[in-house]
Parts: sequence; structure tokens; C-alpha cells
Amino acid sequence: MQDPLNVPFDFVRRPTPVLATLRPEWRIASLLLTLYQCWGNRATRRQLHVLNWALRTPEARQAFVHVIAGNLRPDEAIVRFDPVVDRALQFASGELLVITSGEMVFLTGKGEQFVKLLMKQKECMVVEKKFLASLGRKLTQVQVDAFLTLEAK
Amino acid sequence: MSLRLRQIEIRISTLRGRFGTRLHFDSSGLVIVRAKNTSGKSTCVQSLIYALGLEAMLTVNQQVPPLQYAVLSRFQYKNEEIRVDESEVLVELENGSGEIITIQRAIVSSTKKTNLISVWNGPMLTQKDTNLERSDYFVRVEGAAQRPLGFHTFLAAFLGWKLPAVSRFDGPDVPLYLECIFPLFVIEQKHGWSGIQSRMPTHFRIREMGKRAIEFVLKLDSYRIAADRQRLREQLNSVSNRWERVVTEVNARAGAFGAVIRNIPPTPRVGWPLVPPPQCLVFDGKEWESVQLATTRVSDRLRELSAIEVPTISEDASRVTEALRAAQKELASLEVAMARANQDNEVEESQNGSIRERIRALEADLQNYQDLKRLRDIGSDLNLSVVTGRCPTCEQEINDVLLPQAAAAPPMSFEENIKFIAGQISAFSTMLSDSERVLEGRRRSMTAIRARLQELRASIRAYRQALTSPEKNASAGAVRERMVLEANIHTYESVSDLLDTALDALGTLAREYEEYSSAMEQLKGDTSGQDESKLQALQLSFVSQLKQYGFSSLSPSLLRISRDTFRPVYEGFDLGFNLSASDMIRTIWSYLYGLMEVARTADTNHLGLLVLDEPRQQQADKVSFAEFARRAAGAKAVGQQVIFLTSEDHETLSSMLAGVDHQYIDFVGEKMIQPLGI
Repeated sequence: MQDPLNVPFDFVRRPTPVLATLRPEWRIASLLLTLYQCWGNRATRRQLHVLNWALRTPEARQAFVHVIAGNLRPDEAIVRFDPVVDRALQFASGELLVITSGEMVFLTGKGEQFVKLLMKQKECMVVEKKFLASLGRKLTQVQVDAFLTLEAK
Repeated sequence: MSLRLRQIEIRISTLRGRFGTRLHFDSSGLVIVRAKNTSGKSTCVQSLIYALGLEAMLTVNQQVPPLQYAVLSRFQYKNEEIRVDESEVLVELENGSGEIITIQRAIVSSTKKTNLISVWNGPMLTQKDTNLERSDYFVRVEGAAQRPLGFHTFLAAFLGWKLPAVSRFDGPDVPLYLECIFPLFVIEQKHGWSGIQSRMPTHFRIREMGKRAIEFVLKLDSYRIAADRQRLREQLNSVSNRWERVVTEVNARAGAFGAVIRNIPPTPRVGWPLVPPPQCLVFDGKEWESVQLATTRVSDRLRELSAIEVPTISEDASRVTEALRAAQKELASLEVAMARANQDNEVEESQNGSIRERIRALEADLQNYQDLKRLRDIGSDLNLSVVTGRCPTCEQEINDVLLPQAAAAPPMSFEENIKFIAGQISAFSTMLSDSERVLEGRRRSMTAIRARLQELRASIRAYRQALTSPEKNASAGAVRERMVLEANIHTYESVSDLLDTALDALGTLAREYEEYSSAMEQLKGDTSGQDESKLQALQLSFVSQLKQYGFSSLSPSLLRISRDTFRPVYEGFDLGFNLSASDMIRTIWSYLYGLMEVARTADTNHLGLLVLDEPRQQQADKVSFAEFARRAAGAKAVGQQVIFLTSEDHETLSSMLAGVDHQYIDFVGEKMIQPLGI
């Protein structure tokens, strides 16, 4: 009888599943949404990191609201700087959706067009839009910096 | 089951005397009515529809009859404008059994209501018979098709039709209204030619109205089959619901006694009694055992004890001491068991919690992927290169992910990933339901242990008390043991009763379920064999007519009659948009006349009547209806009637109709509305 193990075989590399939030389109969209929410359609890279961290989980969203309101619990909030945000930023700037200049990131007209199309899609990114809307129309740099200075302490 | 028009008469009273128009049809067969355009042909057809109380085919407006000004307010006669004082329409009809009636409906009247239709039981128009009886019926009000005095109730009976009940998008079932059926028999000029059944009264909100109407006219079994299937499905659902209620209830009530019911399927099964047989388990502090065994054991013990007198304390002291020691030992071991059970339960609960959390996270990811698909659409609207998997700067191919691009394996595509997540969700859901089942079992045994612990503690107290009370007293421990046994027997009996009652109910349900399921089994397919042969015949007639009439938009042999909608389709799509205007007319001719041809050989509800008001000139100019006339002349031999109203000029017509058996009515160069001789 033939040895069942003694047969020729190949390895095939299977594609791996990836979280939707690690896909370029998702991150670029959330980046643009955040920029659009910031005062003057611009923000520093650090601000974007903070806001994108806040956007991702319910816990982070709550912690963020607490900081803005000035009543953070001692065990809350650890901002993670996510390299994925930087890569998304590079793609977005390659697509001319944003322009970067040193630390500053600006939303371009094309980027704004993207956001407006996204806003029209009522069913899309509901939670994220709702959260950003709850923060008020335009976030100021001071508000976000409050978060970063708190981190530094 | 047929209808033949004998005469249509429009009567208008004016200051200048009586005007109107009269169309007399000699017999069945092809009738050609020729009159100039704008001379009043459409008025005739619309008046016929109006006389039959079918104007919902033309309008939703209930206020003004949907007719031309000529019969409503004023008309032209010999360069003079004449005002309409009163007007009405009368139609003489004959049904399949040779009964003749005349119906009359007022159009403009100061004395007669327009929602009343008077019916005489004989040929009032063609024979001046005065001894006819008149009955009045109403139309266009609620119940016109259901109540005995409704005209459509009367008309349906006159036609020999039994109208099926159909379901609506809202509200209760209604009969298939005549307004839904007549668009297959009467085509009026204004809207009738844009498609098959183009004028349907959609405001009735009847589901699949067009399909139901065709089904009815062809007398297909498919409707009955669909209705039966729907009814059976509802009955099966109701049985399932009642079954689930019984199961939930018996489980909950058994749970209250610390018992567990096993082997009852959560949903109904075919086959009774259940295999394996349902069982009720009770917990005696150490093990689960069936309630029957437990009852026997406990009753035996009780019988043993009852046989002897209750001992005094001094007699019983050594036994009580022994029992106390045993009870204390059991208490200790059960307390350990309880602690362990508690711990196991906590582990399982945290496991359960993490499964739930995992499912939540997966569902969030799935939602994000749904969003991603939309984002991708936006991205491609804006021509972003990442959407196509290319780097926007260097145009090289990139991995569709924001991890380092050199990372090991390529990511899944969107579709793969969505499928993957859905698979994970279903796997974790299975795990969750398994974990729920285990938790429920744990909870039950904990309830039972707790009850047993309480019982033991009470026994221990009683033994202690017994050992310290006066020696001549009856042994409280011995009394207590008897009481506990009795209470247990009582509990076990209640639980057994519960199960028996539940099984009685389930047995009845199982028989119902079996009956409905086997009925459902027998309902195979959507159409019966008879339906199929009718549809085949319709398809044959339809295609051969299209060829005969010179249909050219598509190859006629590629068209078929859909077994789903019963309408003509091309490669599965409803015929319509891809046709030229003249081919649309040929299609409508072929389909409607096809229904008529099928009715000659098969048992249908077709009336054997077709009234076609020719489409307006600009659409029709290329359609020669000579071939149609030739084919429609065949109606005469089988007693069917085809009435064709046209504005072709006389010479063309007479050459087209050479050799075709027909009745010819010509309004030479005149308006159809003229002074009417009495």
C-alpha cells in the first residue's frame, strides 16, 4: 500500500483576513472626516493621531469626550500613535486629498469633495460621523492640544 | 363564460334636441369601426368602460367621469357649439348562456346619480320591449364588488366569474376587482398602447395585480397553488410557535422545581411519539435521576417508615446520631460541590462573555466592510488610484492594506474578507449557543444543590434538637424525615404531571404539523400540468402572430411567455423598452389575441371579447393591420368578438379587408355624435 504521507504537495500562500479599519479607503475616509471637523480644515499630524485614536473604539471615544469636558478618570485614556495613520496620510497626500506642510495637514478641494460625497451616504460610517458631529462643528487646536499636554504630564 | 356587445349608445340631450351615437354589432366575429381621428372613437370606448363602472382603469379621480368634453359639456355640430344638458350611456350585453341585459349609466344628469347603474333584464336597445324589469346597482363606492347591490358583484355573476381573493400591500384581502381584469379585454387609445396591461388601477394596492389578472383569465392553477402554499406556511408557522411556547413553558416550570426536561425538540417534528422519549430528571443532591425512579425510591422509603410507629427519642437516639453524622458529612461534601459548581459557572460565564464580545467585534468589522464598499464607490467616483490597487505616486501595485507593504501574506479581497467574517460570526454563534446550553445546565444543578443544602441544614437542626429534647418525646428527626419524603413525592408528581400535560399538547401539535407538512409536500411546483399546456399554447400563438404581423425588433422565436409573470419576456426580461413603437403594438395585439386563441381550446375565464381602440396615427403609421384582421376574423367561428376602432381611410381599409369576414361600420366624414333618431 502506498504511504499516504508520501505524496507530492505544494504550499499555497492563502490571503489573510484584515480588519476593515486597516484598509486604505477606510482610514483615508476617517482621516478626511476628521480633518473636515477641525477648525479651518487643517490639523497637525499629532492632532490627527489623537482624533483617529479617539475615533476607533467606544472606550476611546468616551475618554476623549471626558478630556474635552475636563473630567477624565485617572484610569482612562492612553493615546496610541498608530503608524497606520501615517501610511493613510501618505496615500491621501498621494491622491491629492490632503496637502502636508511640515507638521500641518490641509484638506484639499478634492478631499472636501470626498467628504461631501461621504456625507450624502447616510448609511456609511454612521458611528464615526455621529461621534464627530457630537464634538461640535469645528474642533480647535487648543481643544486637541489639551489632550496632548495632558499626555505629557 | 363569455360576453358579447350588442349595442352601445351614447345619448345627449341638448336645447337642439337629442344627439348621440349608436354602434350596433350584428353578431360575433370581427367588427371594424371606421371614423376620422378626433371624431369621437375614443369617446365610444371610454363610454363603454364608464358604462361598465370600470373607469378606475382610466383615472383615480372619483369626481368627474373621465370622458371627453363632447359628452360632458359641449360639442361641435356643423360649425355650431352645442351645450350638453344631460347625457348617458347605454350598453346591451349578452353572456355565454344567451341572457341579454341592458345597462344604463348617467354621465351628466341633474336627477340621476352617476354612481348608479340601471340594469334591464332584456334587449332594451335592439327591441322596443317595454315589459322589462329594472334593477339599480351602485359602483365606485366601497363594496361595489362584494355586496349584493354592487354592480360588479352583479356583473361578475352575469359573466359567470367567481373572483378570487387577492392580498394587498396593506389591509385585508379583497376580490380581484374587475378593473384589474378588463385591461386584458379593452384597450383604449390614450394609455392602452404603451405596454401589456399598461393601465392597471395600481391605487388598489393589490399585490402582483397584473399576474393575478392573467392567472385568472387563463384560469391557471398557479394562484390556487400559491395561495394554498401561503396558507400552509402560515399554519406550519403557527404550529411551530405554539410548540415553542409549550416547550419554553414546561422548561421554565420544571426549572422552578429544580428539574430538567430532556429530549423534547425545540421545533416540531414529523413523527409521534418522540424518539428518544422525553424524560424528566430530578437531582437528589448527588446525581440526576429520572423522576419515575426517584418517585419509586422515595415512596418505598416512605412506605417502610409508615409501617413502623414513630420512635421516641430514646429509642431513636443511636439512629438519629448516625443520621446526624451522615447528614453533616453530606453537607460538607455538597458544600464543596457547590463551591466547585460556582467556580465552573463563573469560568463558563466569562467564556460566554468573551464569545459575545468577539461576536460584537466581528459584527463591527462586518459593518465597517459594508462601509468600505460604499467608500470604494466614492473613491472610484473621484478616480483615486488606491481603489484600483495602485500607488497614487509611483503607479506600482500595492497591497490593499495599510500594514507595511512588504508584510508576509497578501490580504484577502473585500469579498473574501466579508465572507470570512460572516463565517467567523456563524462559528462563534454556534459556540455561544453551546455555551448557553452548558450554563443553563449548570444553573439547574446549582438550584438543585442549593435546595438539597437547605434540606440538609434543616435536617441537621432537627436531629440536634431531637437529641437535646426530653427522652419520651416522639423523635422530631423521624417525623421530619417523613415530611421531607412526602414533600418530595408531591414535587415529583407535579413535575410528572407537567410533562404529561405538555406531551398531550405536543402530540396534538405533532399530528397537525404532520398533516400540513405532507400537504405541503404534495404541492410541488408553481404551476400544474394543465397550466403548462395553456402557457405553451399562449406562447405558440403569440410567437406565430408576431411572425405573421412582421415583428422585427427581435427574432420572434426568441421570445417566450414567462412562467413567473405570464408575460412575454426576452432573455428573462420583460418585453418593453427594447421595442419600437410599432412592434409594441404588434406585441399587444399578439398577446391579447393569443389569450383569446388559448380560450378556444382550453378552459379559461376569458370573455371572448376584445375591444381595441387603434393607437394614435403617428405611432401606428407603419403598422399594417391587414394580417391582424385576417387572423381576428377567426373569432366568428367560435363565437368570440373582436371590435377594432380605426381611422384608416376607407380605400386602404377595403383593400386590406378584401376576403376577410367582418362587419363594417363607417362614419363617413362626420363626427360620430349626430342627431339621434328615436
